[in-house]
Amino acid sequence: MKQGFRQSQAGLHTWTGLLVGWVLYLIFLNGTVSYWREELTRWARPEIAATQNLETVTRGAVAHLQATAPKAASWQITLPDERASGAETTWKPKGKPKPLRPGAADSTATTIGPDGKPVVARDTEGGDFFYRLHFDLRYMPAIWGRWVVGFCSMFMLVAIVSGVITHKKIFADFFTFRPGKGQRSWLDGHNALAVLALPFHAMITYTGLVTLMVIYVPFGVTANYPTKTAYYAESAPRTKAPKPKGEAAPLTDIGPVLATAAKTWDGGQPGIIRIDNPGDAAARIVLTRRASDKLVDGRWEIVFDGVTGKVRSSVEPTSAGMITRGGMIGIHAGRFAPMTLRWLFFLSGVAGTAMVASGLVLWTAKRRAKLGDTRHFGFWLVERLNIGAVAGLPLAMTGFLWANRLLPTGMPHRADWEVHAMFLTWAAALIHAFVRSPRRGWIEQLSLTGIALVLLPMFDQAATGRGLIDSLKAGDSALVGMELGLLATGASFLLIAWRVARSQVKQGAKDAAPAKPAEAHG
Amino acid sequence: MTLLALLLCLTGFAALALAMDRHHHALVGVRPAKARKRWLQLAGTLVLILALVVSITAWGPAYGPIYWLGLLTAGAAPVLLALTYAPRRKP
Repeated sequence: MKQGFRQSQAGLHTWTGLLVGWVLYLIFLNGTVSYWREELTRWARPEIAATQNLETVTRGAVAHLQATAPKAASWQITLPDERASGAETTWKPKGKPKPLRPGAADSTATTIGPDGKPVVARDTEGGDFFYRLHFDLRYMPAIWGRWVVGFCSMFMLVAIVSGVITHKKIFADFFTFRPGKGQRSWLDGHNALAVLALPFHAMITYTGLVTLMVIYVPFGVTANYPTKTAYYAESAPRTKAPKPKGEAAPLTDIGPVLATAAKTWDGGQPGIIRIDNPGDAAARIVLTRRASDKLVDGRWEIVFDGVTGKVRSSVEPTSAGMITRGGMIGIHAGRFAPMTLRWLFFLSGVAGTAMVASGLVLWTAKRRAKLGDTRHFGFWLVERLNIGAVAGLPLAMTGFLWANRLLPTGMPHRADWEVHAMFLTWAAALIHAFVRSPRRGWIEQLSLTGIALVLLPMFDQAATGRGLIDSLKAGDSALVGMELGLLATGASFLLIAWRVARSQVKQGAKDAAPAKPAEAHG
Repeated sequence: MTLLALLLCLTGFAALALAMDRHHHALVGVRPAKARKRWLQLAGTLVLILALVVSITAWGPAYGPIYWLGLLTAGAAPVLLALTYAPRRKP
């Protein structure tokens, strides 16, 4: 009976894993690089230097809005967190707001540089692209993407639980990795990557589902609220703007407002500043706390009188339910994480990505031994898709980075074309995977990714003002980290490509000798 | 503090690995006696718990366990790599 149950879990694990594996790989890989979302955005906009002083930026943003939109109904300033740079200002004109076409750029948007002056940066989604891709996917309504991602994540949870059950010697094999033994090594590697970072895998999958739980399991909401809008209005109410009085009054100085907020939030900083009725006697300044200050993701807000600068009201999450959910979202996104912890998150994410990839490769490694003749259609399809996904996706993401550097800055829809470049690269990689022999497919795509990544920092040094040496001189640790990270990632891909090339040579030599019977799935 | 907690995780997992027949054999050349196994298991577990205590002391009750779980992974991985790639006796 016990054997039967474990066997059933093995089947469940294998087939659910294969069904959603490629999407999970995309989610894990892009989610993992999203731990460097701000750094990637900084790298993607080399026009903007590092931010030194938030108050300078805020004052600059207010001055810019005052000069360009003194009669606006409201202003909004999105401030960079400590790892990012460049504030963004937008404003809404008086009267009925025109609904913005989804995806269209806000024509009022201006980027404010670290010196408080407007700066023109290339049009790019930067790190936000990878972040969005990992739960919205692309080229489809975000809500569809979220359902696909939710479906796959649910199966990830199934795969984690069934994987633990089907892993016979989870403790005996805890520290075991036997390299150079084909299927055995892939299984060892898959198990080790899974077991060693198991707390992370379970946490990230579960909390990932929690972040979008209102979409997936809406019944708690629908049972208690007439509409979803009513639920959002109560769970995340928006501070309404008062009616303008029509009397002119100068806006209070923003400096003391920031100081009060920092005092109220134990040194916390605002992420968004909204100013309603600027220049009117009924002006209000609404400060929303940035997410990187605290573990719990939620709404911390202080409303100031825009003329006197006095605090009018403030809110913060209080209900146990909101704090629990906010805590789970917070730990998933890791926005709060300082560098040490961020690296632990990132490395665990790398382990998770490699776990999914090794699981996909294991499916073919196991069947290659069994089938002998590998001209079986299903096998052929999975083997080629594995190359196009596991090796092709990082190549495509590298294509995005190169497009960011090479597309002309004045190009219309430039940010979209960076994304198109990524998917065109990916399509090319998939075609390549089907026309080349598997061995060449793996080696060529992995080494091309490696070379393209290693060349990026060299291009930056030659063609942008913020190469590795410039950033070292400027003490800009985020960009130094990015350049070194690109080099290290590229080197890793080259190393993997070399290992694949070497091991297949060895395997080719072994094939001449009498074949050993394949070991069973453990 | 990070370094201390990481070293504790590393030591704890090294002791736990040494308590296992296969790895003890690979490192020492013989299978461990029962009493020695027990002792290593107990020591390894206690050191890992000590790492949790250190983490909570350093980062508080909310952040501490998060650091600890991350450091457990970071501490176990080098043990696995060392057991795989360090030169050892033939079984």
